[in-house]
Amino acid sequence: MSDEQSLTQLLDDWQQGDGAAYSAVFEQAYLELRRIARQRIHAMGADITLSPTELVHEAVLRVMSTELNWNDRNHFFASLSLYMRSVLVDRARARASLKRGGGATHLALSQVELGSDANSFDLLALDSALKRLEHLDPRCGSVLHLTCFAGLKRQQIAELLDVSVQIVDRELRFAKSWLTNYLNDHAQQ
Amino acid sequence: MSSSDVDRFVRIKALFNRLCDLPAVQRDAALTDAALAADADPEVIDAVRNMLLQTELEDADLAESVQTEVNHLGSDEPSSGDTLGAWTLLEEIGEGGMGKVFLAQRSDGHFEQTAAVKVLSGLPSARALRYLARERQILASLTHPNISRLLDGGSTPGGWPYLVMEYVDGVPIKTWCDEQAVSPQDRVQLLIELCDAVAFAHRQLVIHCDLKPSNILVTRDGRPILLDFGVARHLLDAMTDSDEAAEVLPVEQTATSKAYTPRYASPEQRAMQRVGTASDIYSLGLVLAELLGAGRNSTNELVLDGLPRDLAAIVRRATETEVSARYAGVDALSDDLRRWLNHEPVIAREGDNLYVAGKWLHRNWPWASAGLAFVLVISVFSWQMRAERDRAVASEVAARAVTDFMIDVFQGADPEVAGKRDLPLSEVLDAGRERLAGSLQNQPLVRAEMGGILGSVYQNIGQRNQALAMYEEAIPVARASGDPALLAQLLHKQGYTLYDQEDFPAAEPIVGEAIALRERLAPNSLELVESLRLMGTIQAYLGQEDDAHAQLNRALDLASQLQGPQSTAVARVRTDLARVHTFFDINGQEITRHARAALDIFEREFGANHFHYLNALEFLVIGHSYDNDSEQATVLAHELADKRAALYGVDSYPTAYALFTLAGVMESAGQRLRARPEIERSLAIQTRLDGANAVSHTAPMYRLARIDMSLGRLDSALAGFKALLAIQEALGAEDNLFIEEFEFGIGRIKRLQGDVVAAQQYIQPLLERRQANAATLPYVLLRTQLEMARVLRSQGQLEPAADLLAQIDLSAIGGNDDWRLCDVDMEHALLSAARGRNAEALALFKSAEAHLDRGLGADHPDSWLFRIERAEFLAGTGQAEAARNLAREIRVKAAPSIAEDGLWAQRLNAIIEPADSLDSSTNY
Repeated sequence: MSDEQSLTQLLDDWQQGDGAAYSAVFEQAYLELRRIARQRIHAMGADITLSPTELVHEAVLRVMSTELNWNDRNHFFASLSLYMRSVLVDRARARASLKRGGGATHLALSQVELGSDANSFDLLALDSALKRLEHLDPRCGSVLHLTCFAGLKRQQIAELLDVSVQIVDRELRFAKSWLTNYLNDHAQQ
Repeated sequence: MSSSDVDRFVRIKALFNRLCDLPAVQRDAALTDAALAADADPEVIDAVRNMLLQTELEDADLAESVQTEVNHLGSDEPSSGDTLGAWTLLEEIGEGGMGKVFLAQRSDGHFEQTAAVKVLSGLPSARALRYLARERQILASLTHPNISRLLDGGSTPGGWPYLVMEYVDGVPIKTWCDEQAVSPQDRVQLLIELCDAVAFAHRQLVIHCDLKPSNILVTRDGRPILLDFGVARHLLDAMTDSDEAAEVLPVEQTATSKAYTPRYASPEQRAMQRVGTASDIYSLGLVLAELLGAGRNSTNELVLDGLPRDLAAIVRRATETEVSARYAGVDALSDDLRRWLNHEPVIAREGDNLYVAGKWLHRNWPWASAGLAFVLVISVFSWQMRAERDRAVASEVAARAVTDFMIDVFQGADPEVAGKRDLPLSEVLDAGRERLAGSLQNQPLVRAEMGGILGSVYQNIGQRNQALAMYEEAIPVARASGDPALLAQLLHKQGYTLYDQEDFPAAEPIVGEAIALRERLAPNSLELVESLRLMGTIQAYLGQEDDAHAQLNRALDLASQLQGPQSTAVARVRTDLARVHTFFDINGQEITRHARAALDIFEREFGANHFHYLNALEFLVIGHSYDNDSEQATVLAHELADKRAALYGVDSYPTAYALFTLAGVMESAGQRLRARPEIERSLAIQTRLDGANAVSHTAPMYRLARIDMSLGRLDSALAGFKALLAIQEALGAEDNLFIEEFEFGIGRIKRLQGDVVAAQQYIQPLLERRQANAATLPYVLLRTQLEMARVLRSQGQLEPAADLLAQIDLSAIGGNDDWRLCDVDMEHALLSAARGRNAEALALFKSAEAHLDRGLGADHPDSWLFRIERAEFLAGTGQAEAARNLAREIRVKAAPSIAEDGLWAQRLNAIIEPADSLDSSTNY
């Protein structure tokens, strides 16, 4: 591993100080997350697109009663985003396996839904591309993850990873191009 | 993923970053230039070209798939009037623990059909989704006239999953019986039909888990139909061996327990223990009682007084608290019901509860699976085995559950024991064993079974001799009583314990007999897979490469056939195969292949932080390391160490082993200065866990000593080898592989320190022993011969050294082992140099170095470390300038393996600045 700090490493360090309270806060934040999502859709109809950023931030603000300094907040958003990612990927994977069913050849799947679930596969594809990138280049992967799942601004990402904003921009630019290319390559297969 | 992937990625990134800010025209030109470069990689160029052509993603695009998934979190659940695929929901007809059921009509105009559509209610968690997926899978495998069929399934655009099932137009069985005034005979007949459906499900390895009158409808034509497999379980999920089950079951069962109906649930289900087919038998017994009009008293116990005595006995037998006291299968229950219809005597009124008490233990015993032992094989990574055994010790908790039962069985009768509190586990066991010896004299089979169980508990708490004593007593009984299944099980356990004690020669025939029995009794069972795995691993330790592979490949085929090629059973066998390949293979191809396949399965089934995943990862590390892909191996080894620390804590054996592996990877990459702190961390952890100088520290201490030796830190290495010998001495061990290795290390250090007399005292007897021993591996013999030749040369005995070199049989080690060939050429070179044949020596040095570059790669630090010899040769033959230049280059290229306070630094400095060091004569 190179000497640059990866996101998970940073989070680990931060986590050291906190222990059990930390995961409790997570669980709570996630419950809030779901509740807010539900409320929004009720209030605004099914067409609304919820921004994950907004959701995460709102959930975090609700569960964090104490004042955190900025770096802690960034850390927390970042942590929660890892957690959210794993929850979302879990759900998408569970649905994908439901879709595939149990190899029951005698079943006729309703064709209507075959296309409709494409997004959950997208998320899985995004996740596996991210994993690959995180493996090849931890810092670049962290920047992409934080952009997709934590909705952190470049300045915040830069603070979190302790690099300049220019580097974040450059990493992100590359990451997006790499991602598109990777997803194209893998879509063909 | 190989290092070439990483290389390629780095090149893609560099090129992309160089080009992305250029105007389009210049980009194309630069891209063309790059493609024409001598070292151009077409894939890199293509990738960068594609990447530059794409329109840049907006952040919003990026977040879209995430948002869609988030939206699913909040979208509304389906309700009446909604259309799901081809189905329109008409009205809600039921609500269960996790979902709602709607009556639905096919709305695509193809044909008229009604169905029951089940959707999850509330915000479905990933777990609820998995449950629904499992129900779908289970139902798909169940086509039976008495089970409601699965018609369709999918999920809504909002992400709500649903199942469409045959709609059964009927009434609950109790209502039907009461309204139609059905006779007791016909009620029994209905239950027999139902038993057939449940038995069918059991044959498909499905347990219903929620049998109750409201889940059984009777159609107008009087056909009972079984509904709602929502909490059904796959038998194999419920019965797989202990370690997986221990990890997976508690979570799953919590979910199940919320879903079942307590009134009809079996005691084991309510106690959240593992459930099996007997659980459904229990529920069927209760349904039967209810259909026959049995009531319950104030403590909710069945009141069977009003029932015919035989039927009451059948209900009692089916609803025994202890699993093994019930009918052995649903068919046995329905057979008994048929006997009652035919006025034959029913089995239920016979019976012997003492026998079944033993059976209960037997069935619930968490299997200690194969692969739990620890055997230390030097220079082979076998640490994982130890890690697994530590888990087995952790499953002492599971053993305690059995012990609790044993306390019930044994303690009550022993007032002295009963009065005490906080008895140590072993004391309770000993008490139980004594009591076992004195009781059940006329029940030899029960005693044998109990003995087997006690043996397993002893094994699991590490008291292997006690375990063996139990098996040795039980096995003759099982043999004499003609219970081959029990005998096979006891033999397997005995073989396992012997294996765990590292007595492989004794274990082999015993496991062989277990396999023969199981082949005959249960040729298609996971038990046979377990025995084959154990056998293969034992044979690997016995050095029987072909046999080991044959057994494990059989295990692989069988596991694959039983559970599918992507099952965890297969992944476990593949982990064994990877391990065996680490014993025998020179390159990592097969290790990597098996480890990768196992890794993928474990990741999918358990996630990337599970101990099974990490075990497979460890072999992947080793595979890459064997293939000299040190970059990849190091990355993965870091992942391994980090995740182990997260999973088990820093101060744990698995973390210590992961650090050991990490250090090993670095060591073989020649990165010894970086490896040293890692191995020290590993050793520090183990010292905190076991105290200093425990016998189990042999492997890390040996690695540390070897690293020190290769860094040139001879004093430190010498102290390490002496400490290792002291451990063996304290054990009272006589000549063994370890002692020989350590003495070899000391001999070599003595020679490097210039004490050639002491060196000979260590090496010569070792060589004589190894030459006399036919089992000595060719390369071990070669190493010893070479070392002896070096000692002789260092003493100036050039002719004997040459004679010894001439004895070396290169064909025995195969013609393409560059590492050994280098060693041999190097010694020839040094001997030629000592004899003053300089031209010959130089050619041999070059030949040795060519082997190194081929075997290790020209950039490997070790390739350069070896060049010290040529540098000294140059210095000694008046070529001071060339010697200095080479020495300086070595200083740089081999830096990762040169300790500043070590011998190599000293020797190199002596070449670079000869004035500072008058004595440049060395003793390589």
